[in-house]
Amino acid sequence: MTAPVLAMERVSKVYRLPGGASYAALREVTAVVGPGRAVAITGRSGSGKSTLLHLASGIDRPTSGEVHLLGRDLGALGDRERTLLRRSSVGLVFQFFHLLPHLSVLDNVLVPSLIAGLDPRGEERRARALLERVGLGPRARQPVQELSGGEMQRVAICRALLREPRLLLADEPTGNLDEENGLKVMELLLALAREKGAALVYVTHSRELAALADESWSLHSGVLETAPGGRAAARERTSR
Amino acid sequence: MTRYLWRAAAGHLRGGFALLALSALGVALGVGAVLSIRLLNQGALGAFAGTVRAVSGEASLEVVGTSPSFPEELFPAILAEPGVTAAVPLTRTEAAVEGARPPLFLEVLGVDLFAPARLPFEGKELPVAAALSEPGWVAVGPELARERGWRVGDRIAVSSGSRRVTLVVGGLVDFRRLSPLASRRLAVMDIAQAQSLFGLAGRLHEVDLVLEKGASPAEVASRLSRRLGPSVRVLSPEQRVSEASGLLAAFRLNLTALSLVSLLVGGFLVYGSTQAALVRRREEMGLLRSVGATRAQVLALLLLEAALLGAAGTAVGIPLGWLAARLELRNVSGTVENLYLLEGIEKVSLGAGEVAVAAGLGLLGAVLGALLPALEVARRDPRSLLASLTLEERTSRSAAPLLGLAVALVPAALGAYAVLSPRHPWAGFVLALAATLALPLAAPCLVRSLSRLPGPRRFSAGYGARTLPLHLTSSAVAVGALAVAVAMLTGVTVMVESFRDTVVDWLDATIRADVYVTTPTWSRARGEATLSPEVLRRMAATSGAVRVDVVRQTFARVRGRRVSVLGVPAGAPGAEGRVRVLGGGAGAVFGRLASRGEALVSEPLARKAGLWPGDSVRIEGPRGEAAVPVAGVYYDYGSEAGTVMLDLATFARIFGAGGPSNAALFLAPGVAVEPAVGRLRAELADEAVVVRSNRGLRAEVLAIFEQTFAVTRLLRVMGLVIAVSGVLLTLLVAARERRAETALYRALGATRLQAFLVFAGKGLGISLLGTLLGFAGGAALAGILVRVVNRDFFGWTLELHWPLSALALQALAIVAAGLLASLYPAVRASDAPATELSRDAL
Repeated sequence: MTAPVLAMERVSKVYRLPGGASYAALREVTAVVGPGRAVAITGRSGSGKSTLLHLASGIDRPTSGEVHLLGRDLGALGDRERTLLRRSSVGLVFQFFHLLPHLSVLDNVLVPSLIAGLDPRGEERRARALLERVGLGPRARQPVQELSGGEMQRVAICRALLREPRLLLADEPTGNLDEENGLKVMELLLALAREKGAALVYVTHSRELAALADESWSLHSGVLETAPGGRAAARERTSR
Repeated sequence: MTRYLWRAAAGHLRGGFALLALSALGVALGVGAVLSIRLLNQGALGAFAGTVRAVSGEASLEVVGTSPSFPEELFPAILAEPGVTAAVPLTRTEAAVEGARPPLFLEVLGVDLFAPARLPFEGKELPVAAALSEPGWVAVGPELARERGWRVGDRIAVSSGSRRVTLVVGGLVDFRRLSPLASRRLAVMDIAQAQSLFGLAGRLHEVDLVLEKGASPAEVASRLSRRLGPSVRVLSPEQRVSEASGLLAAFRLNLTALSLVSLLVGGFLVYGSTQAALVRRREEMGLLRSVGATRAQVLALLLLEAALLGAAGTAVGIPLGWLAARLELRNVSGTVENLYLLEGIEKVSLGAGEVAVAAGLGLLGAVLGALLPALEVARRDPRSLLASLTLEERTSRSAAPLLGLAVALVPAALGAYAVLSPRHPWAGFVLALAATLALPLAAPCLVRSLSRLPGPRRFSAGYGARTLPLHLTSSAVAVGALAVAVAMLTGVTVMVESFRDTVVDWLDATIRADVYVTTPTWSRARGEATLSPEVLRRMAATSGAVRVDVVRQTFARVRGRRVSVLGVPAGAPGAEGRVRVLGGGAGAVFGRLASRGEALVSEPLARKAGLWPGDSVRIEGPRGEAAVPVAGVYYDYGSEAGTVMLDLATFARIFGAGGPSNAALFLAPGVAVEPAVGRLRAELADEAVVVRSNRGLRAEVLAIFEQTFAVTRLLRVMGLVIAVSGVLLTLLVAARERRAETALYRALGATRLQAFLVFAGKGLGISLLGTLLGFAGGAALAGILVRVVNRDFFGWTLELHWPLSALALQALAIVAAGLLASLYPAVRASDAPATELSRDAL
């Protein structure tokens, strides 16, 4: 059996609120993401979707339970080790793109290499290839502020994929795009993740986009329910 | 709206105490710098005016000698003048207390103890009999007596010129009861005793006049002047204070200009913090406007907040200014005494007027600093305030026009200088102001140019510096403020070093004798402190002596200015080596001094009074006005007011016979100087004289020079502290505003150390750019201060010297201070967790 990319075992996250009260964002979540799998997470606002992604990437630590990324227990790692693991193995895509306005399209894609201390010039070929793949090759030297929302998100996807991560986490990647652009970006994200062999976990409010994943997880008040996604269901139907 | 103001102010205080505290510190240091200089300037004048008031009391007019004493035969004529009800004759003698360290001079007033004037003696009755009969009876100030441990009956050895006198403390006289700022070194004795003991037989220095009710002081003064002739001047006490004020005018203006730079930098800080706050609070203002607040209300809200900041800064700045004034008191007092021969400052007092001025400056500086950004926000409609276009973007767009304005300032300032300089010696300050103002205007373009640099290879400090254009408003203000402070620091450092080197060259050229002898009181009394013929005889007789040159000195008025007049042996061999003449040819010029009785005038006098070769200098001496042709102009850095140099014979023709105030001994080649100084000191042990070697005299002159410029050191440091606070403020703002950016880096795999280094890079970038821009501005400022301001304002030609190693050290210190200031914000920024990625755009 292939080792999972991400495994969560009875993970809970409780936030302390001012005045002594507490709020449980996640409750006893147990889930596994296998290599190359695509998982969609749905749920209402405040249901714990973003918290789950933070824990999966090692940005945050659970209150209880264990998160294993590529077999390593994130709870046992210090901040620096988690950061280095995230740097080498996780790609992040955000709803609001979070591109750096002072950098060009190409330089934005190259930021992870820069942070990793790799010579950006050596990484440039790969970055350009990614930009060509998403149709932004000719605009590599343009300031990112001149791009449309859909184009910005494609740049953010290239940035997330540059270091060929084993796990791609996307927090509402189409939330800031119109329906048509959202679908295009989502399809592109899924295709690129498949091409690179990366597992993809994405948060979405759209049933239509969730149906594109292998699995669909649903969060309700911090409690996770898992189900086969649209593609898995289609495969099951075909095999029958 | 008022309620909202208080709530908003309280909210911002809670949310950003460090930022507001730093802005208030900027105002505090600016107010402190200006206030300290105002207190010192006022102290310098106050000491003189206080002493005049204490001594002359209710006198409406004072008759004072021009040379500076006059024959007492004039007294009956003064008393007989219609309109004069009382006339109080005075002698004033500077007496050096022997063995006092630091040197102490009593100003001994010889007074008519039977005159109706009210003297503030302590005790029930003045022992008139003792005062008249006991030789050396003197009443001293109670404060000085306490300080020195003098009791009634104690004997004090003093000297006046080379004459030694023993005084006996007979009572206490407290002039501070009449005028709190009166000098504590005033002493009183019977006028007949004073004349006899100090060699002033038949001479007076001053007669204070009380006029009849209704008599016009101006008319009485005019009649008396005509009747008494040129040996006296008749002045009101106000005129005397005003003349002292004129003497100090350049010195005071120079210090004031320097202190205002600190206030300017403080204003920048408020501007920067207001800009930063408004970037953050744009939406709040948009909402206020949306719910019905008028433009005026928004403007008032923002300016009132700035005024509160100014009030907080002023509250700290006032005690700070008072403290700084106390710290610098000794240096400024020394300069006032040494260079201007006025009363030293004994204390500074903080009156309600000064507090009001300081408060006004602090509030006005803060409100003016906030005015532009506040107007910018107030004039916008709610829709644009709530839109995504930020102040940063507009600053970016205005960077090029601001640079254009900076460039345009150059011809504008040159034009203004060309128009103003023929009539106004301060016109050079217009150039200095333009050079200073151009720096913050050029700063946005300079910061923005960082974005054109090639992409950094590492995610470290260089990357951080390259992100400065992202928050252009605050970083450009920090760079601009730092540049202004660095420019001031550089300009003044180069000016002081240039001055020092010029003075050293001047001393090399002019101090050529081996040993110099003068009297302890020469530094205060000049021409009235003379060497006895016996001193000169013994000097000439000392072993190895080749020649003794003497100098006579007095003060006289030339074109309404009090100038120093020197009599030198112009015909003596090598006399021309005494000075460097503008345009050269000292030998020929000295020949004309000796053979034709012409004059040399010092450069400051030549420039200020417009006296050049071919003109005649009209010297108002005790025998009337003497017109002496000007043979040449010489470089002189000893007196700002100016000096006229004459041959001894010409000097005697104008001022009459008298003793020399200084003597210079030339030794035979090969004779060791220091042992000769020792021998001469032993030889003259019974005379009140000061014997210095060539080297010792140079060291003393340079010490006075250092003391004169010491006050600039504090001002420079204060300006720099404000600017470095600006760096800290900017980075604290950035640490808060750019949390999302740092969170993104952390999310993308940047370690805490990397985030720290990126942020420290911002501090390094601001420091480097500010220092770079400041040095460019400082070089221009140095050129203006050395070549224009010193020449036009003080009349001194200075050689421009660049102390490169000192400047390099300064640059390193500034960059290091900037970097140090960035450490705390960098730590705070690197603490931003990746979970804080907000929904705002980066």
